[in-house]
Order: sequence, then structure tokens, then C-alpha cells
Amino acid sequence: MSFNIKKINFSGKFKLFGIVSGVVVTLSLILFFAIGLNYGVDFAGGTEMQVGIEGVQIDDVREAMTVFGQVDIQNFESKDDEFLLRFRNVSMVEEEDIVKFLAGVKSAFTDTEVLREHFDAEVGDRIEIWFDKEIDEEKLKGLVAEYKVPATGEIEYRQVGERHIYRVMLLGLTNQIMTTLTESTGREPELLRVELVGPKVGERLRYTALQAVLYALFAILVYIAFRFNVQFAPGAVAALAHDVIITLGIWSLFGFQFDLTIVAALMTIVGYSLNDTIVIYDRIRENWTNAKKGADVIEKINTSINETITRTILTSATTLFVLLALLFFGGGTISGFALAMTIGVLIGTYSSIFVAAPVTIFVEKFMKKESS
Amino acid sequence: MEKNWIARTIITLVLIIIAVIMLIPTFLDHEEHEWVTKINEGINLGLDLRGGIHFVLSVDTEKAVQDRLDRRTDEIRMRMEDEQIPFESVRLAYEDNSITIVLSEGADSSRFRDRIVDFFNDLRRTSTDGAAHRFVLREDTIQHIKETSVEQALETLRSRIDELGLREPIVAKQGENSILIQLPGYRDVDRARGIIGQTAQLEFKIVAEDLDPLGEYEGEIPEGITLHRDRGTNSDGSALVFTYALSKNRELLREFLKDKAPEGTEFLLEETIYPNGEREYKSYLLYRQAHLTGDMLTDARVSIDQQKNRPYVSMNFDRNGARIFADVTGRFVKRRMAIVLDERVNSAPVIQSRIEGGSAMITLNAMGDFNSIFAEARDLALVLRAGSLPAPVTFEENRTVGPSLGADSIRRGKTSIIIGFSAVVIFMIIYYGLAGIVANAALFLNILFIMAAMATFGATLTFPGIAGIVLTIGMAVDANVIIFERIKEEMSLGKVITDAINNGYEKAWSAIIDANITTAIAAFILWEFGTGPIKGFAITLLIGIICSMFTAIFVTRILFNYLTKMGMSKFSIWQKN
Repeated sequence: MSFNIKKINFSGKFKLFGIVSGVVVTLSLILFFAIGLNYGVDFAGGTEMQVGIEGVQIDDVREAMTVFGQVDIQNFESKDDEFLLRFRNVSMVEEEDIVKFLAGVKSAFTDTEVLREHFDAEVGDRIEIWFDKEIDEEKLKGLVAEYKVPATGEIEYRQVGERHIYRVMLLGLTNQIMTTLTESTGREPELLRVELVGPKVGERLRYTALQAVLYALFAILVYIAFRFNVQFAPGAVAALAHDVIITLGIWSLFGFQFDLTIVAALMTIVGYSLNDTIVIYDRIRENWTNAKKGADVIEKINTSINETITRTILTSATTLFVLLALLFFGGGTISGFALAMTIGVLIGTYSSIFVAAPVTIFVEKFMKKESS
Repeated sequence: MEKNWIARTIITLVLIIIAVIMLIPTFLDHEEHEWVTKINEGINLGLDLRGGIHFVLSVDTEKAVQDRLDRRTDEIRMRMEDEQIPFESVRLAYEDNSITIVLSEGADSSRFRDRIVDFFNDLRRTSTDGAAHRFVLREDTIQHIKETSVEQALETLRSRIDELGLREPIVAKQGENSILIQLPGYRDVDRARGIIGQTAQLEFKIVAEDLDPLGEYEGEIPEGITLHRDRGTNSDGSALVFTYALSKNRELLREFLKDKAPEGTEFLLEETIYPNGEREYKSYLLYRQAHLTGDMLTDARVSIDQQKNRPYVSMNFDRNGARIFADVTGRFVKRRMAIVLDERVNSAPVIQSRIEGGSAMITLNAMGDFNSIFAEARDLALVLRAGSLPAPVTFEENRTVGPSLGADSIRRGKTSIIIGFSAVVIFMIIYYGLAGIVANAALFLNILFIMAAMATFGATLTFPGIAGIVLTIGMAVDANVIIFERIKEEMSLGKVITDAINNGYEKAWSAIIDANITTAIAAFILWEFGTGPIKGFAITLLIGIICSMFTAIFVTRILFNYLTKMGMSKFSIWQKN
């Protein structure tokens, strides 16, 4: 069994696919900037919970969760009694409500000075108020009730030097949700997984991820410039940028969740797409030196693509086999990764032929014109 | 040439044997076969696969700085008095963390400079306005306090978690003031939070029975507070009577006691919880000076009071602590010594005699059954053994995976590997025939080597890591595909099979090495920057690349050598053209 591929005139279609790629990349950029990515808990901060409740419909869960405001609820396609709940916050409280409460505290305790008040939205498990003297704790409790602060009812007190520190302990989001679920569904939910990331941490992770991708691209470029001719590098970069931008565009369009595993997928796509590009480049490098003088650049590249096309198809096929296995059997947290990789492998295979190669021809012609 | 093949075969066989041995601990029960742990600990499963808790804490370093300022303010006041420099006030402003000293009229300013300003050399004078001198902490001091408080918190948390006796917990510094804690296999989030979050500052202070501000108090006593008298002992050993206050309302009592403590003393409360759940608070007037602190402990254990059948915590001091304890108990015989934990009086027993040997006990005020008191005593002993935190910590990040989800992930991972592997194997046989079988053998060895390498180097296998292995399977055959296609080309040029194979391997080499190195660069950077599960993905990808290079090039070459020698030169795929 073999592919009997006649020599295909890839270079003849460069113009057509160049336009297609250009349009898709532009569209992706528009989508990316207009809609933006749907950042997951890793990058946006917030709480993500996976709970199992037997015999409960997703609508019941949705209804039970309405009190919590904006909640993203998903049902795992593989298991209908497992739910994924995503919240933008890590605590029950909105920062502006706390600001109102603190203003209330200040006006209620006129004879004492509030030295400092502190609510960390990132942690969200307590409000801390420092007074210059002791205060009536019952009065503080009254204010907590009046401003409907979701507190546990517990107030911690500490005296440090001249500071009198009161901590109003707040209800944890996780506990609150589990209680609500139990009450409204009448069943005992099982907490399978909780991820809780403060917004500042999310910001930091986002920055680190961006840094990682940029460093990777740079390191790869240096390697290519070192192993191949300089005029090969722009084509490789163009292909990689093409793949990453289109994947991000698709993610923006469909609102798929963008988290750390997708960044890992993007990096792998970069590696894979480059892998493809390099195999073709390797052949071009070989034909470059072997070919008779005066042979056309386009012809050399066209030959190289044709000589490697079987390999390109075969490797993409085997990689897609395993990715589809992951997509359909990996379930839950890994399906996003598998989907990104599947799309990336398809685009990466295409871009090695229809982006990297023509850009290299363009650069080559441009450099010749400059030198003559 | 002949010898070369034998050497290569031996290398491969030895590596296979080593790999199999290295994998024994992963597949055998450690409890049943204890000897296997001598080889290695088996493949280390990540938190997402075995279940467990992942915390990121931040240390409140600002608070550590403020505590230093608090102490300095007290010390300045004391030293000003000792040095007899008259002053109006020494005040700490919390808004900008500055200390302002206002000298009295006629105070000797050069003496103030020599004895105070020069003495507290971690303070820097920022301005002088008449008699008011404003000080702040020096920048390098602040930096130092912040750094050491994180280091100390790290040490303390490490020893607290060691006390939990978990297998392979991780406690590591992350960024400037964050600490990462991973507790694999641990489920009790609440207990973990309690143990990690408690400040646990233990102090021993003498009760100021000889001062009796409440006994001299003549004003109105608010409703809900009652005053009581108790027998005590004066500093000269004579008997006396002193007054304490009782109330069920802590805030009321605090309000009442406010400003009543004489200089150098403070009121702290003891909480008693009655079986019906009612709480009562008792006032203690204590000298501020802490004679002993928790950092002088060598051990704290749970013991059980046989008569009352109540658990308590018994503690042992280190040599220095024991000496101070003997000295203090000797000096204050018949008086009360308060044991203060996180600013609350735990108990204040009367010192019957000088205590040698350096041990003390803490009783628990908790209500409830034996088991819950025992649990509380156990956790208290644990945090005392591990020491106190230099500054409070807050929880920034919490990821918890339940054990059932982990098991589920492992099952899904296995299914994906088996299906992906089977699909690739079948495809390779259909497309390449005998050569495909050679490639499949290499692929199988590849997985064996990846697993063995992970077990040997103690790398962590996460769920994304399994995805990395699956992906490697798909990409590993790439090297073989490149080689096989090359051989096919050589054959079509009319070369004999052995030459075609030699040329094929030779010409494919540069493409394979360049392609793999660039993927390795991406994986390496991902490993550098990634956290947790992503690191797991990067490491399996990296190991996979190295192993696949070896199996797909080195091992298949040996197999082809033997196959051609056995006369099996009709590899279907290459014969057609």
C-alpha cells in the first residue's frame, strides 16, 4: 500500500492559499481583539469546582446557583452527574459591598479611630479592621448583619501593641456552594476538585505564560538561524505566528476556556509545526546544494515539498490518531488540550507547506534583488 | 563491522533489562514487597492523579515589619526611662510606619543622640521639628525583616508539615513572598488550613498579683461583669488578696478593663467553655515581659490526665529554656505563671516549687468528647513542636483534587494510551508491513524507556503528563517515517537493500535531529516556566523526545541489520517501486 502521488504543483497555489491564510489570520486577529479570550481560572482568578451529584439535572444545579450571580455551569459530556462550576471570584463578597460596610463601620464608631482597614479580594476570607482602642464587638456584629456581609459570625480579636485588630471571618465560597447544593437538591454532592486562584496570581501566571511562549520562539529562531541559512528563519516564524494566531482566533470565536493546559498545547503546536517546517527545510537545504546552478528557487522548493509530502501526511495522521484518542477518551480537563492540539496539527501541517515555503521564496528573491 | 552490531545489541539489551528492573517498584505493592523500594520509589504520581491539596500562601511581611516597629517603640520608651531622658511621648504612626519621639523641654539632645539615636541603629531619623524627632526603619533593615520572615515561615511550615507524616509533601518558596505547599494524598482541607494557618505564639508571663488595680477600683461596675477575690502571694512571699473580673461577654469585659492596666502590665483573658456551650472570660493582669517563648521548646506531646481522662499537651524546654524556667519558677514560687497562646491565657497555675528538668503542660479548654479534645491537643502539640510563624499567612491559591477524580483520570489516561497506541501500531503495520512491525517494536520500547526514566529520576507523572506520553507515541513514529520514506527513495534509485538502508538512515539523520531539538527547546522552556501539571507535561515530552531518538534510530537499525542478514529483504513497501 502506498500513496501514489504525482508531482503536485504546490507553488502554483501559493498565491491562492496566501490570500486564504492572510484573510484567516486577519479575521483571527479581529476576533482576538474584538471578543477576546475566555480566560479560565488560572489566568482570570476565581474558583472552579467539579462536583458530582447523582440524579440531578443541570437545570436544577443552575437554578440552585442563581443566588451566586454569574456562574458558568457545564455538564461533562461523558458523565451526566458531574458538573463544572466556575465563578469569577474566590469569595462570596463583592469588593464594593465591603467598601460600603467599612464606611458604615467608620461612621458607627465615632469615638474610635480606624487605623487601617483591610480586605484582600484575592484571599477574601476575612475583613480586617484596626482600631486604636477596643470596641463593642456586638455592635460590629450588628453592622455585619445590617450590611449583609456573608460572615461566619466569628470575629477574631487580637491586640498588638496599641492596635486592636478585629477580623470578621467570611464564609468560604466552597462551603457556601456545597451547602446550597445540598439544600436545594436534597442530595449529598461530592466535591471532586476545587481550584481557587486569586486575581493577582492569575495576572502573574498570564505574564509568565506569555514570557514562556516568547522565549521559546526566540530560542527556536536562534537555533534555525544557526543550523540553516538566515533567509529560512522568517518563513519559520511566519508559519508559527500563523498557527498560534489562528488557534487563538478559534478560541476567541467559540469562547473555549483558555487556561494553562492550552498554553502547553500552543507550545507543543509551535514545536510540532516547526518539526514539519524543518523536515521540508532540510530537504530544501539538500536540494539547494545538489541542484544545478541556475535552477529556479521555486522549482527547488516545489520538488522538496513533493519529496516530503508522504512523510508529512503520515506523521500528521499518526499524531491525529492519538490526539483523537485523547479527545474522545481523555475526558474533562484534557479535552481542551486535545482539541487545541488537533486544530494546531492541522494548521501546522498546512502552514509548513503554504506559509513557510512561499515566505522563504519571497525572502530569497528579495535578497537577490538587493544584491544585484 | 560485525563486532559493532554485537556491541549495539548488548547495549540495547542491557538498557531493556535495566528499564524493566527500574519499573518493578511501580507495579509491585510496596507494603508486600518491601525490598522494591531499594530500587526506587516507583513513578511519582502528581496531585491531580493521586488526589491531594495544593496551597499557595503569602506571608504578610508588612506585618513582620510592623511587629518590629511595635517592639522598637516599647524598647525606646523603656530605654528613655532607663537613661533618664525626659520625653513627652513616643508614638508609632501606622499610616507611614514611623516613630515620633517628642522630648520634654530641657532634655539633653546630645545625650538623646548618643544614647538613643545611635543605639537603635536600624532606625533612621527623617526629620526633626523642634522637640519632635521622626524615625523610620532603614530600607535594608526592612528588606532583611521581609526576607527572614519568609525564610522563617518556610522553615516553620516545613516542620509542621513534616509532623503530619505525609509521603513526599512539598514546601517551597515561590516568588518573593509566597510559599507553595503540596500535600499529596491528603484530603482534610480544613485540618490542613488550621495547622498551616495558626500563628502559634507561645509565651510564659508572670501574673501581676501584687498589683491590684481592680481592687482599688471604685467606679461603677457594668452589668454582666462581676469582681471576685482570690488569694495570692506578694513579691516578698507574704500572702495577699487580689481581684479579678468575670464575664460572659468578652467585649464588655475588654471595654471595662481598658486603660486599667498599670505601666508594664496588660490584661489578657482566659476562656472557659462549659459543657452547655456557655463561655466565660476571666481577666488576668500579666507583666508584659515574656520570660519564655515557644521557640525554646524541644518537644510537645499529647498526654492524658488519668484521673480526669482528659488529654493535655506536655512540653519540654531546651537547655537554655529549662535553665530560665528553673530560674523563673524559683524566683516566683507560690505565684502564678500564665501560659499565653496567641494572646490568650491558656491557664495560670500556681508555681508550687522551683521546677527543674524543664517541662510544662497546657490543658485544653475545649468542650466536647474525648476524641475531639484529643484531636485538638494533637494539633496544638504539632504546631508547638514546629514553632510559631513570624508573620501571619494568607491563602492565595488552593487546588484540591479528590481521590475518586484522580483514579478516574488514571483510568481515562490508560484508555487513551491503549487506544492511541493501538491505532498507530495497526496503521504502521498496514502501511509498512514488516518494517512497520520494526517501528512498532521501537515504539513499545520507547514507552518502556519513558516510564523507566520517570521512575529512575523521580519525575512526577501528571494528567497532562499522560497526554505528553500519548502525544510522544504519535510523534515518535515520525523519525521512522522519515527514515522509511528515505529508504524507499533510495530503492527507487535502484540501490540494493543494504545500501538503501544505510543511505536512508544517513540522509534522514539531519532532519530528525533538527526537528527533535526544536521540539525539545519548546518543552524545556515550558518546563522552566510552567507550574505543577504543566511541568509534568513538559518533562514527559522531554523524556519522550530523548527516548524516541534512541529507539527510532538506534534500535530499529539493529533490527533491520538482523532481518536483512536473515534474508528477509523483501520489505513490501520498498519493493513496489
